[in-house]
Amino acid sequence: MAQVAGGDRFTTQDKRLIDGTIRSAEQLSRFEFSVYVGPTHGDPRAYATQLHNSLTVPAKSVLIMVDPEQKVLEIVTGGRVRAKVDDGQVLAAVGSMIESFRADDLVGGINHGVARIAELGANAKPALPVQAENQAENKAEHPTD
Amino acid sequence: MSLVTAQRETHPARRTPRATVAVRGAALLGAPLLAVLATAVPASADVPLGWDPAQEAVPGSHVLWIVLGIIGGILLIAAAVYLPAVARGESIRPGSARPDYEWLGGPRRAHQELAAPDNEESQAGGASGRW
Repeated sequence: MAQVAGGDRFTTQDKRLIDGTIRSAEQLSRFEFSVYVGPTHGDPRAYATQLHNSLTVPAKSVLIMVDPEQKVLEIVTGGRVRAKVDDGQVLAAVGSMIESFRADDLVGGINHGVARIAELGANAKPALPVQAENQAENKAEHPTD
Repeated sequence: MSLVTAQRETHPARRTPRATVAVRGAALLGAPLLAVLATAVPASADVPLGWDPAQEAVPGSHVLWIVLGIIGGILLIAAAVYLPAVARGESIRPGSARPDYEWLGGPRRAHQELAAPDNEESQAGGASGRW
C-alpha cells in the first residue's frame, strides 16, 4: 500500500470492509474491537495502552494499533478478553497479521487479526467465576472431600 | 451641357447595394417596432378574485421579523453544523489539516485527551510485533 496522509490511508471501501469485520467479530465474540492506524507517540506499548484505556469498556475491549510508518503492531486485550484469549494466542494472530503487512496488505492483515481474535474468544471455554475456580482447585487437592 | 444636366435630373444616380441593404434593414426592424408602439395601451387586467384592491403596505416590523427569522434559521443551522466539531476540539477553519490517523471503533479524542497508560497492576494483556 502506498504511503499516504493518515486520513487518506484507507478508501471508503477499505473502511467499510474493516467496519464490517469488526461488527461481525463483536457479534461472534462479545468483545469490543477498536482499530487505530496512525502515528504513535513515545513508547508504542504505553501508547497502545493509553488508547485502550480511552475506550468505553477497556476490560472487554481489544485494541489493535498499527503504525505503518514505524512498522509497529500492538494488540492490547482487556482483562475479560485475556481470560478467554491468552497472550500466546494473540501473539500467533500478530504473526499472521505481520505477514500480511509485509505483503503491503494493511486492510487484509487488520481484518485477519480481528477475525482471528474473535474466533479464539468465541471458541474459548467460558471463564469460571472465582468461587467456582477455588472449589475446583480444592477438589483437585482433596479428592476425598 | 444643358442636355447632360437634364438627363441627370430625369435619371437620378443609382443607389449602391450597401445603401439598399441598410434601407431595407431599417424598414424591416422599424416596421414591427412602429406597429407595437402604435398599438400599445396601458395594461387592463382585472384584479384577481380574492385580492383586496386597496391592499395596505406591509408594516416595517413584519418585514423585520421575517428577516430576523431567516437570519436566525441560518445561524441555527450553522451552529448545528459547527458546534459539535468545536466541542470536540476540532478545527473548523476551511482547509484545516485532517487527522493523521484512523481510529475505527474508537472515540474522537486528541492525543492530549487520552487516558493514562497501564501501570503494574493492569490486567491487560496482548502482544506486539514489528515488520
